[in-house]
Amino acid sequence: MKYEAVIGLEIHVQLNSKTKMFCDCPNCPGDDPNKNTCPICLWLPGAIPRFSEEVLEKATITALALNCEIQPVNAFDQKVYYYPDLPKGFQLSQFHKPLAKNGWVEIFDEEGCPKKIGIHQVHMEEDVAKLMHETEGRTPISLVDFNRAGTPLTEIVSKPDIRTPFEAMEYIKALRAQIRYAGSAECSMEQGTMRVDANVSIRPEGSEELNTKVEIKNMNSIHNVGDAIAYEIERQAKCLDTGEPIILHTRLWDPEKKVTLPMRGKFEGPCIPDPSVPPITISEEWLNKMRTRLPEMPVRKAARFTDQYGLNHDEASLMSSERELSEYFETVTKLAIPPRTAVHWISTQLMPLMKDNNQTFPNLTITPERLASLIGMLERDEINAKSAREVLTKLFSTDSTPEAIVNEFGFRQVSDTDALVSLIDSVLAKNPQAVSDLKAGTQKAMGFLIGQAMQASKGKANPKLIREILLKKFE
Amino acid sequence: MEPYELTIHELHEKLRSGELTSLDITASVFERIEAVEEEVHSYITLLKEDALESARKSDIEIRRGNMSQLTGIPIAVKDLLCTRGIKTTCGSHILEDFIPPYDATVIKKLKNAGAIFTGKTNMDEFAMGSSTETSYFGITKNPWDPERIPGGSSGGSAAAVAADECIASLGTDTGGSIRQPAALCGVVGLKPTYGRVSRFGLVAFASSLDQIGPMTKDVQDCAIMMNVIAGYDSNESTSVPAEVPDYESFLKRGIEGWTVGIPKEYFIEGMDPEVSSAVEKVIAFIEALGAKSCHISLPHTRYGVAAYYIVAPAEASSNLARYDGVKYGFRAAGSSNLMDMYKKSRSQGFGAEVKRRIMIGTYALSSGYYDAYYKKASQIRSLMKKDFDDAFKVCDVILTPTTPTPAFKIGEKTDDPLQMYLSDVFTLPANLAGIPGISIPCGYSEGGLPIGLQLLAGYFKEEKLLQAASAFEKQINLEKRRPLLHGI
Repeated sequence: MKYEAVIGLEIHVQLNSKTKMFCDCPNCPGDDPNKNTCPICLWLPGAIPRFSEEVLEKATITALALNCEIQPVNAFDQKVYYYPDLPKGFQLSQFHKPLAKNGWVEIFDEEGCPKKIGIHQVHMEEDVAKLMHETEGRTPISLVDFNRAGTPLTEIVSKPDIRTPFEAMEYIKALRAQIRYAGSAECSMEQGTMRVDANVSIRPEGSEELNTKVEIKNMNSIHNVGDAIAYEIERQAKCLDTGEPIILHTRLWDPEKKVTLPMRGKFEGPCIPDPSVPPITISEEWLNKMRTRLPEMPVRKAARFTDQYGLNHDEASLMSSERELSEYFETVTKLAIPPRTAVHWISTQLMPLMKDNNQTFPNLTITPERLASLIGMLERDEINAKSAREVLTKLFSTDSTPEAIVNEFGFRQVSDTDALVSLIDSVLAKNPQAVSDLKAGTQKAMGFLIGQAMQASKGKANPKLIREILLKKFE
Repeated sequence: MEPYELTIHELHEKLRSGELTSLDITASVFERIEAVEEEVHSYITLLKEDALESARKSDIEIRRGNMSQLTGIPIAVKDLLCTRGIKTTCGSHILEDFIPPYDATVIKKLKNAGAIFTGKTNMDEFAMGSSTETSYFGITKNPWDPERIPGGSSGGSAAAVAADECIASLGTDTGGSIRQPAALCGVVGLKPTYGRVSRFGLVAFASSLDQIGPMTKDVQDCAIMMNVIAGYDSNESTSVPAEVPDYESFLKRGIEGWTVGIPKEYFIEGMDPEVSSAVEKVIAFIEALGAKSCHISLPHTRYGVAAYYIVAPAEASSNLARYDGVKYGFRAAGSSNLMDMYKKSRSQGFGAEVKRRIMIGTYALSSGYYDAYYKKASQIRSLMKKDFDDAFKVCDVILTPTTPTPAFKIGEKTDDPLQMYLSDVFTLPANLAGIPGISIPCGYSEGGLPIGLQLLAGYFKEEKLLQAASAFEKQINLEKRRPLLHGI
């Protein structure tokens, strides 16, 4: 039988607030173990959480970036479960009254058609401590690092709108782009600032029923998510084909073996409204303030790039795909560089070199000013394209201006007609065969002669000018 | 009179005049403790050396003229309040060795005011109980009759004040745990409005009900203590940034022209006749104070016990989830794996009453029951709040008995939790509604046991409560009796 998958994702995103969620400790989980702790985030008896306004702002901006409706009142619940990474025995999360509901992000499916993936809700919760297991060298022990305890998370629960592993991956990318744009979180699956769990069920194609789902955890890259879901769909299909029932449970993705394996169930206790953090009322005025802090998001920005700069669809969506890239592009454009030239240089030259040099926009040594001045020289025919590419490479390893490099390495192109005429004359003298071919109308000979002249100039001649001089000579 | 017999305001005058030093007072209190503690057992931890050292420092400050009303005054603290570097057991085996690295906000405030800490007082385990019999650290006796309970859960704090083992103390009140033992031990006990006193550092039992309050020898001392501990704490989200008046300045104003509400639901059948008659006597004083009494109804009172025994255990079930045998001391031996360790440690580390309430709470919150129990109980709370709101539209304060009976015998109700729960029937509505309440002594039974009178006021109206309590205290003019202890 042919099956269709019904997939929903639960994504935890660590907000980049300065402090933890309920105390003033720094939100820096990577510091030396247990450096950032106090009675509140050590969850000591008697300590009482105090909700951070900054976390509320970041969470709200995240939810707005995902087109959610912010609820007028949200509140925390105590979710009881017992595990050593949660030594207080309950996690503050939002079960009864989440921060936001009913959002969406847009993706393009396998056929390139736009599709909206619904977001059921966005809520806030505190992260748990981190366990480190020392299994070698002595009696095995488990250590608890509380630096992460009480750091702020938002959990984004999608609707079961996703149908394929591809869509799941596209959804994560789109959601990540939106949140990174909003600037409220880093969203790195590799670094654990974004964690994705998937709920997967299957049904006969064409059916509308929702079947028993299986939860998959432990996927630490977008590709893992795709692979794990693909595996799980196939596994469930086999179950159904052989008449084996699907049971509600949680499975872990094993990235080495590329399989999902069942995980032992954990005890889930009661859930009760937390009495110590009063319900949070969101006023329209405050919400409007948050809305103004939301930057122009990718889809709108891409449309503007098309209108304002005449970019085509692909160029516009590429230049707006990341906030830093889009800002870089616009800055270059404002420095009198034609927009499509800027797109071309950024996408085909700069970005591959950034990858080679292990740089990203925030730490990029090629400032928009340096790139603009380089492209400017090209535009003014002071250098040719080949030289420009070489200068760009050199710019990564020096503080010099593009002008200084051009001068230092003699990249300035020869546009002096007199000098070029004598250079061309000597090239013509050395290549009588090509000259006669050209006279006979063989266009290939023109290219050959330009190439020879360029070589003679050691690449510094202006090829356009050479062509003009040659054309004049053989008119 | 020995210094330990005096009140805060009397001792303050003697400290100010130089007649006594803090060291004199503190040493006197510890002499008293040494004499009667074996008989009463008010304390879990005594801090004699620290206290004497602090007293010497206080005397230096007093000589320098740095003096607040609590400077140099020995005060006892319920063992549910976190004290930096000092064991805070909550009366439980599972926290036997817990030494907090921080002070509760009220402790900081008392320290800043120059108070001397005598020790940590005994209590029902995690404040769950009405008799101090559920403590892991032994039973506290009622100083008026060592065969009887002192009430609870702040039984140690009440007994310590009644037996002169401290000058005043702090208790906590989740369903009556300050007022009920105050009544049974013949002292003054005030439960402030929820949010009036910071709960930061109070080990949570039921966070939406818990409040810290003073237990003292008279109403004036109660006002003095409130002046120090009340107020907003930016560390604690449920503390309220409302202005704190000088409570002491209200005490002599009288209640002329006031209306005192008498709720019919608090004068029930089965009430001890001696309690009824003591309270009736006080009601007869109302006119003499220039006030009038008025019969009112608080119709949802009858649901109070039921609602309380859903809300409090529900909150406790998650608040106590953190005691898993990993930290704070007790861990059961011989566990084969993590879950086994949790189960064994919690089974052995908690007493029967705590386990009973965790089970009630977990059941009430379990999936499918939330709406039927917890949500319903929350709705009853709203109705009870409305009862009080309506009542305070027609009266200034409400007058009731604090407890249905005087102190009962040790062991009398331990096998019947429901009877035990009913001993808080008059006190727990104030916690469910969040309003303040005070208990003051209003008489003695024929057997010589103290009887308490409860006054209730509207939100953040502690000054009215103290004003009325002071007026009644003066009018009742109870003969000064002291419990007959074998000690000194």
